Order: sequence, then structure tokens, then C-alpha cells
Amino acid sequence: MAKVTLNDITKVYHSNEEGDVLAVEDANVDIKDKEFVVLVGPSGCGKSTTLRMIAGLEEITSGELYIGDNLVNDVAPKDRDIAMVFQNYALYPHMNVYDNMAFGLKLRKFDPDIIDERVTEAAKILDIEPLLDRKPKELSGGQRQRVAMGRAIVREPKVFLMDEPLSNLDAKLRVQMRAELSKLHERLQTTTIYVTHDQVEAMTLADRIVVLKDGIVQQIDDPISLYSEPNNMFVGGFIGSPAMNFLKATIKEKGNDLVLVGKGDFEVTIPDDMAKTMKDLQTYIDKEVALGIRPENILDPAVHDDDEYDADNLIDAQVEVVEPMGSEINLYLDVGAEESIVAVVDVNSGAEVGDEMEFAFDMNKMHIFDAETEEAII
Amino acid sequence: MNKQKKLILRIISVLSAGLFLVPFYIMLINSFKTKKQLFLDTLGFPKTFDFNNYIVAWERLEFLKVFFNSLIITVGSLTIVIIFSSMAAWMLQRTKSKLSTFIFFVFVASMLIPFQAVMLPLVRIMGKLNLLNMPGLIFMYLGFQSSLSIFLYHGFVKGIPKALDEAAIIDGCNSFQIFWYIIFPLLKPITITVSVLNAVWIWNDYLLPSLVINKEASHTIPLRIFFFFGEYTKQWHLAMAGLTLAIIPVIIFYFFAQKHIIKGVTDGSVK
Repeated sequence: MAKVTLNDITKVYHSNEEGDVLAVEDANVDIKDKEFVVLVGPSGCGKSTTLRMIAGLEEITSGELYIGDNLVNDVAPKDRDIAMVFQNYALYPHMNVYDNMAFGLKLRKFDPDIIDERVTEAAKILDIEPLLDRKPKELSGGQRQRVAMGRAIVREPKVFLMDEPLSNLDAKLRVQMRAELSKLHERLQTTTIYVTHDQVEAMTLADRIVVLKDGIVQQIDDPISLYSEPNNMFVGGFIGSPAMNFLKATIKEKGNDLVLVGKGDFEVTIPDDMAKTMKDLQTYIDKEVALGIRPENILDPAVHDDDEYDADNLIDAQVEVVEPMGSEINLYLDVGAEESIVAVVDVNSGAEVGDEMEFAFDMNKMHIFDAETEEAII
Repeated sequence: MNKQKKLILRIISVLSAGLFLVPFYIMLINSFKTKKQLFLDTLGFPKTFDFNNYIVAWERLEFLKVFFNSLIITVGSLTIVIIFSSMAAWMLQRTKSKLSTFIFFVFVASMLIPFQAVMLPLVRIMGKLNLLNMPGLIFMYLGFQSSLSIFLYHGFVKGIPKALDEAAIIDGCNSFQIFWYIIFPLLKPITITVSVLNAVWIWNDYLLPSLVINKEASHTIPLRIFFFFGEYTKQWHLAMAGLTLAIIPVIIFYFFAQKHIIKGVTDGSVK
């Protein structure tokens, strides 16, 4: 078990046709011992490349990579004491489950008794004991996934690297395996670096999440902080489902208050205590900013008590689409802005397509971003 | 497909199969005839099944000796062709560079050069290098057979996910271990196809051995069979018996590998 440190890690791909492609730029990440860190971002953001550099499958163009206290930039993958789980499992098709799991240990010339003990133990943990004699093609997707995990576990490495290990499973199995991964990490306490494009996976599994975009680390934080205090519009929009709504608005002074005035004549007041924490407040007055509000922070006054929302911050909207989700309803609302916004409201809302309604923004949970830099102001 | 069409197709298949079997029929029945009988009635059944021709052919060919010569050359060539071309194909497929593409195309392009165009200079150069007879022949077969073999292996390796190589690297394999423990076992179907194609070709080849082998002790079966065709006499009955003896090993080999050959040919066509 060990910490993993990335210091200014950069990866440049040299390509004759497209010139140099910068896949990862100056990534700085400190992963603590026993931590479960998830790298998340859209496809092509450099998350897999980062993981592969940690694994040693890709060369590091510049920067320093430490596993434990050792600089491993030039250390061969097999000597880094890591184990990796691949997206398509990469089980050896001609070997049975036992041999697949034992292969790494055999190569390292472990005593056969120890190999047997470790494989049996891992099989017990993963509940795949009856499958040890089978070939990978005779297994279901979920079983293969377990074997791939088993192959990593028996090595007892310092670090687990997982490259979208659940993305080939169907939705139900994915949820189940996700919980099992969590349990497994709880039990083994091995430092784990996990790559996914699925923010739900990231939120549910991670101790800390690293959000990447275009090869640049956007934010590193625990799931709740990431959700409630995104650094920029990208993180705000990427984490959370349905995604955060963004509305263009201008900050104006109105008496003692600061208000946000947007298209479609909506006007909401920025709470005093938030206005105080705003950076360089004066510079933003009369300037355009982006108001970010999560769907669950748009309240339907019909189903809330008067003290649960601020009657001064009501906006008019027309319901465009109603999506009943069972426990709640997603409403797509036209508030006169360029794009419609989404609200998640109680099933008792009674909203129907075409209804003209009033909604309240829970202003204590809103975010304001700089329209140009997209950085969070509040 | 309706019944009538099926029937017609079946008749055509049976007829064409029959057509391919005619030479075997002629070889087999004439191997039991005397020389006179053979010329009087080439297509008819022999009056008696006399194994005398086989005994004479066996002795005159020094069958065991030439059989082992053919076997050593075929197995030797096959082994190095398989080892070199599978490794080369794997590396050429996994290395993404202009050079690797170029080398691959050079290999493929060499398939287009007719053997007759290079045989004389080749024999002269190899003679000067003192690389004639068995070792030289095996070396030359490596050169001639590897282009098709690399081409076949290359296509097959494409279907093996690179993640397997990477998983093996992380498990602790070096390049040779990746190849021998992981990749080579997975190449089995195509290795069998490559083996059959090359084995049949090398086993039956007459021209190259006739140019390269200058010691009687190293003669292969096809070279020795030619002994039955002299300037003044052609001993067809003995040649037929000798040929029957010569194809038996190939047929046995084919029967054992048949299942895999068909699998090798169809593999990749259906996912």
C-alpha cells in the first residue's frame, strides 16, 4: 500500500499528421495511502492516459511520478507493484480462471502453495470459487469482471488501477458491482485509482474525485464538496444528473441588494451573506455572468411551505416536458432564456405540459460563474 | 433455398469432388498393376491386388531414408517459418510506425515475385555462401514461405486485443514471455492453417530441392520418385506405388488437422 504522487505530469503524443497532441498537461495529484480516487471526465479528456502513465503503459513526457516514495518514471510496469483491471477485462482466453489469476504470481516465481492459497482466498472473496476451472468464454460479463478483479487482488499490489471496469456491464449489474467494489476497497484498503466517464460511479465510489477536461485537471475534491462547490462551469455541469442549469444574467444594484437580471425578465436577489463572499464584487456589477442552479434547487411553491422558499425570487416559466421518474418529476422549463432549464420537483407537483407556473430558485444554493473565464465567483 | 436447388448444388458438389479424386484413383489402382497391365488398361481395376510394386518402390526409393529427409526438411522449415513469421507479424502489427508498415508491405509484395525469376541467382549466391543441401534448403524455405505466413498471421493478430499484451506486461512478462505465454497460444488456429499450407507445399516441392540438393543422401521423396522416369524407360507402376507411399503422411497430417484448418479459414468471418 502506498501513496501516489503526480508532479506536473504531462503527456504529448507526437503525430505526423496532426502535429503534437497535448493529452495531459501539468497534472498535479496527491493520492494518499488507502485512498480511492476516481479520475472522471468526458471521453478524450486524458483520464485513461493519466492512468496508463501511472501503470507504465505510456511514457511520461515530463513531470515526476512517485509510487510510495520512489520515483517510478523509468521503472518498468512489472516493477511498479501495481495491478490493473482493464475495461474489456483482458483475461487470457486460453487459460482457465485459476491460471488467469495465478499467472502474475507464477511469473514472479512464487511458491506454488502460496499461489494456491492466494488464488483460493481471492476466489472466496469474489465468490468465484466454482468457476476456477472454467475458461473466460464460459463466463458471463459479471463473472469475467470478478475474475479480472481477482487477478489484481492475488498480486497484493501497492496500488490498484482500474480503467472503466464496469462500463461493459448492463445497468443493473453495474450498480451491483459498484457496491461490491466499495466493499472490496473497504476490506482490502488498497490505494485505488479508478477511471470512469460516469459521474454517478465517481460520486458513489470515490473518496476524492479528480475532474479532467482537455487534459487539464479542473478540480480535486471529495464528492460532496465537488457537487456543492464546483470551481468552474465545467465541473458544475459535469457532476450531477440532471446537469446544473446555466442562465445568462447581469448583476445589478437594486437599493441595498444585488440582483441578477436575465433574459425573459427574470430577476432574482443574491442573498446578502453570499454577496459578501463574492470575489471582486464591484468589478462584476453591470456585467454579464452565468447563474448556475441545480435542478433540485428549483422549487415548485405548490409543494413547499412558505418558509421553504423566498417569495421575492419567483420566476415565471412554461412547462415544456414532464418526465416522471417515479420518486420525482423532471420538468423542462422555458424561462425565456436560450435553452430550457430542468427542475426536479416532487411527484405531487401536478405540473402538466403547457402550464404557466411560478418557480422559486433556492438562492442559497445557486452559483455564479464568470461568463468569460467560466470560473466560479460564488 | 428450395429442395430442387439444394439437390442441384449437391450433385455439382459430388461431381466436382469426384473430379478431384480421379488422379488419386488413377494413382491408387495403377500402383497395383504390372507395367504391361497399366498400359493396356489404365482406368480399369487391377486383376489382382499385388503389393509387389510397393515392395520394389520401397527398396528402390530407399523410402525410409528419403522419407526422413523430407520429414526433416518439412518439419525444420515449418518450425522456423512459424516461429519467425508469427513473431514478425505480431511485432509489425503492434508497432504503429511508417517503418513497420513499409516492412509489412515489402513482405506482402514479395509474394508477387515468381520463384522462377529468382531461382538461378539464388542458387548461385547460396552456393557461394556454402549454403546448399538441407540447411540451405530450410533457410530458403524460410525466405519463400514467410511472406504469405506473415500476411496470414498479421491479419489474425489484429483480432487479438492489445489489452492482453498490456495485461501481460503488468503481470510481469517481458516481450518474449508475452509472445510465448499469451500471443502464440492464441494464434493456434492460424498456425494450423499456415502449417498445412506450407507443409503440403514443402513436402511436394520438386524444383527447389532439385536445384539445391546435390547429395544423394539428402534426396527428398519427390526427387527420388523422378528416378522412375529414365531416358528410355518410364516405370509408371513403380512411380504410382511410390507416390501413394509419399502422400500417406500428408493425408494423415491433414486428417488430424482438418477440424482446425476449417476453423482457421472461417475464423474472423463471423464474430
